[in-house]
Amino acid sequence: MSSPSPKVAARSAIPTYVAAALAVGAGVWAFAPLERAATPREVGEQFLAKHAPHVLNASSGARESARGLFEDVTARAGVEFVHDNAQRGEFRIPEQMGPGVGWIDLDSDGDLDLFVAGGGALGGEGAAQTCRLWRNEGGRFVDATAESGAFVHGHAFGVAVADWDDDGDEDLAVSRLGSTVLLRNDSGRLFDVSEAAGVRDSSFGSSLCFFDYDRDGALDLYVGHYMDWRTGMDPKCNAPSGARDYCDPTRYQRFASNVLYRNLGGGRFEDVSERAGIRGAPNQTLGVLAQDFDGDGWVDLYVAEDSIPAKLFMNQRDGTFRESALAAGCAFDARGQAIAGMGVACEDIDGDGQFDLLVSNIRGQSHLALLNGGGRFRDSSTRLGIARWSMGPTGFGLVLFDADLDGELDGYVANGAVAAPAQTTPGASPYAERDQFFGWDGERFVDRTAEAGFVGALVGRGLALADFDEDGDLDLALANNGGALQLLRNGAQGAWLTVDVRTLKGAPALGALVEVRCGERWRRRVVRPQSSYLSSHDPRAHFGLGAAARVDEVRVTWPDGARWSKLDVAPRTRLRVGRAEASAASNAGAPR
Amino acid sequence: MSITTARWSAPGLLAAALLLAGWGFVRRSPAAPTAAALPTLASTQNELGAQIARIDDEALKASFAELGLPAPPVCSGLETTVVELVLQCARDWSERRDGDALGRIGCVQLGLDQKTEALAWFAAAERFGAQRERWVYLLGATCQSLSLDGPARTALESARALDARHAVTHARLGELNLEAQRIPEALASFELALKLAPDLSIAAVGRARAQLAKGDVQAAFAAAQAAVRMQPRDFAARRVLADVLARLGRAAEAQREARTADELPSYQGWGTFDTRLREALDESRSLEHLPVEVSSALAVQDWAHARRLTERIVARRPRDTSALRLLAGLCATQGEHAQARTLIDRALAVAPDDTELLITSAELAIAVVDGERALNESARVLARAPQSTDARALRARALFAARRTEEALLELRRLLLEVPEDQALHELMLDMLRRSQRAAEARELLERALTHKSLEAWARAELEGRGTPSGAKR
Repeated sequence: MSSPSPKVAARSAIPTYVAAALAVGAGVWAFAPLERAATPREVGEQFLAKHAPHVLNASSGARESARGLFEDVTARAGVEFVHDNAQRGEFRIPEQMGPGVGWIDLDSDGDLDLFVAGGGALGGEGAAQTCRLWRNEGGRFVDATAESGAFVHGHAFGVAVADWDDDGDEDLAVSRLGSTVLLRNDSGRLFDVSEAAGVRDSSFGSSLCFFDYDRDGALDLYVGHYMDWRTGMDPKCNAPSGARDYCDPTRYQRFASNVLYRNLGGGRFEDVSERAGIRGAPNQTLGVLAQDFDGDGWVDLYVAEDSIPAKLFMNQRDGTFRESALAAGCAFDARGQAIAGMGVACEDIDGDGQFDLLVSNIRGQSHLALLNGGGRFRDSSTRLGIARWSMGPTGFGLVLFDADLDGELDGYVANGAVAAPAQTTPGASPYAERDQFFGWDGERFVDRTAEAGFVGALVGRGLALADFDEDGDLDLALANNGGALQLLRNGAQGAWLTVDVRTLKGAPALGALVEVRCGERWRRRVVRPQSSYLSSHDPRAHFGLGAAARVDEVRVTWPDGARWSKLDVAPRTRLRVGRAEASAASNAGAPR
Repeated sequence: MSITTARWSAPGLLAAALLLAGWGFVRRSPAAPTAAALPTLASTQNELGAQIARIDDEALKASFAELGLPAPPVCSGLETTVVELVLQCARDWSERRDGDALGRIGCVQLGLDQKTEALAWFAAAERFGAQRERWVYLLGATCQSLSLDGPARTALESARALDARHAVTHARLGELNLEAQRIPEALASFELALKLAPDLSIAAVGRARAQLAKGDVQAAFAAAQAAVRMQPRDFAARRVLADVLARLGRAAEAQREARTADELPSYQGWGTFDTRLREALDESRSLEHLPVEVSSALAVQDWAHARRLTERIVARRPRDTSALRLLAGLCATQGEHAQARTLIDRALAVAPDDTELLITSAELAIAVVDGERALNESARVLARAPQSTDARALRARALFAARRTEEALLELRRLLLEVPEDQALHELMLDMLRRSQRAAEARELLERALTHKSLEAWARAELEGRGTPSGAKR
């Protein structure tokens, strides 16, 4: 048998080659290491990690970290207070709203003492929990309620601190269910002088603030009211689970009217609401803030309202205001909806020299960032990154400050729900929510809660800033509804500057503008203790300096136009500047 | 032996290749679906009569993790029907790798208003489900509602590529473009949405806002007017018209439009314009969104829709006195007084001393001129709130219904002495006087009202015959 020619043999082997190649290929494929298919859980987590990392952070259980910016020092500082919100199963709306908190140098010793609004009985059904005051003794707090006369009765809400009688020490005003209380400080002891002073508004008070609207040198008082509430008028509402729950304020339709008191001097106030043009539109006020928004030297008012349009009262320089929120673009959010405005913060967020607004909002809606352009506002919540992380919880107390002293604004929001969610954790208040800490990353505000260390996780309401341990950074007092008052000590390491601007009598000069220049960059603060929600802060202007080796210039402008400046100030300096040191006084109007 | 000569090796090698390929397929195929070991579901009834689930949430979470599923909602305390749906979806995934079941759990999360949690489920459903366009759309819509604009855009653009004829997708993309100040793209998206759905008012509003952002105020004015014509009770349409008028310097008209907008619900229900979202929420079996829908329907006076929604609530919560009372009111509004009476009696059987129920019961009795019952119920209301102006006004109305006109008027006169500027009381008194043919007293009442600044406009309008229907307020 003759062998086939090589050509024929090669042709006849083609199928074998092909089969061999297939077998090798199949073998390689069959035994190749498997790339495991992703599970639905992994697909979901990948999506959240990429697009909503804060959700994963929040659920990672890192509620408290031993090493972070804030540390809860409440017990160590000697502060023991649990707010009685009067929850008795009747779901009355005032139960949800308090308390506020305020810092006051009651004994004029230079450090800040702590005042908290009490709660307790509603509608005369029993004893109220009085307000409380602790004296600061080098970072330790000693209960001085009785000796100071701070035991205001009645279910209280807002706290405002200012030297309204112009005697050089700080006095108080407290809003309540019922009449507002005006307390005069005489040598470290508080006296209720409301009746004699003519402060007689009677409603469901919320945030309040002192400011000099008519530029007569005396601090006037604006009192926000939440609603015209009476015992027995709360409708019945249910949570998603069907259990009884608090009602949305829109179910009430019992609007209140806010009140403006003009300080007549001599310890007397006059209700000028009607004459000044601030009465008329209905109020459901939670937050109030006084600021000269259009730079004309006259202080305007922003009023955050719950589920009705916000108000902006522009000062007409003749003792009256014009409500201009709609025209100024701050009555609604960008979608044209009235937000549930709660707490208000006001700083120069974008560094353009004009003071912008940040308003906390209810779960499901973003906090509202309003950038100011000459008295006209633009909703920039998305642009500034706030909408990315603020829609989960319900924000109340809200502050903007340089927490980590890097030279950029950070913020803290005290969160606490007003309606029970569909999902609740057994044993915890259904209204408890974790607070949020946020910071500027160069382009936008980002959620930095995970690196904050301790943040509150109760039903947050009042929130006030103060450097209570006098270490140069700003600490926090956090007033929780139906929960413990908390002191969060800030452990930031970095350079800072505080400027303590005073009146002729030596009290904090409300409304003064403090400007600080490092290199080409100016930063600005206004002495404005009342902002946030129901709360009153350390009146000193505080700046983190970041990497700046020195402060090139500090300028102070008092509300009457008087100025003071200083060049080359070392970091970590506390400047105290009295009005008497100002170089010149002018009534021509405060500068921008 | 060389391969070129081993002809027999070809079939053998082929067989080997087939075997190896088969083995490869087996290795790569997903794990064989198995029945999930899910915790037992028990149920209890709450005070509203709703069936509430009791289940071991930790065990449920572990089961879901074992199945490779995102974390489930906390199910204990939810209504049983919702939890049954969650468990059924887990079984559908476990037994037949039904990827659409993942999307259904996403709908449950959405129904519970847990939007961020819903995202994980929709993302998974998009990967594993057959209804890909539906899930990617819901993913985009949910991202948008959370202001996650980047992923919202990506998802909605995918949805648009899969279904270019869904107008709301275009409108949503228009909103995103507008937010990002991409005005020409925004306008194009809104125009396309309106071409596909000419009555989609959200797109009309968006077009007006985009024109305004572009600086073309006249075009914005025309667009805003078109939006208002399209849906006169659309809050957003009224708002944008107010904004445009303000920009045109027509301040008084702007204020008027703004006031009109304020009177409308700013949030007109989950599915006002987005039927897919409404379907998703309905699929969730959760009731959470229904109260918002009911409020919206009430605000726009769509009684029939409000009634349908409330009936759904009552069916699931038969002892919910608030829902029963609302439903009774809606029935009465539609003239079905007998049905309303049945409902209110059911509610009173649950909460016999509830003041609001007693008020509604009295109102019903007044409506059918059942004077005796009206008097009885109003007396009980008054006993609970003797100082209440409302309770005393109700008593007066009951007396009037019982034909005790003099007593009714006397009660109202006493009330007016205490609250002389209460317009609602004046309206009520005027109504009674007119209905009892006492024209002179009616005129006297109005003339007295003229002396009160707060009542002057009302009284003048009534005297001139321009008044609103009487007795409207109380």
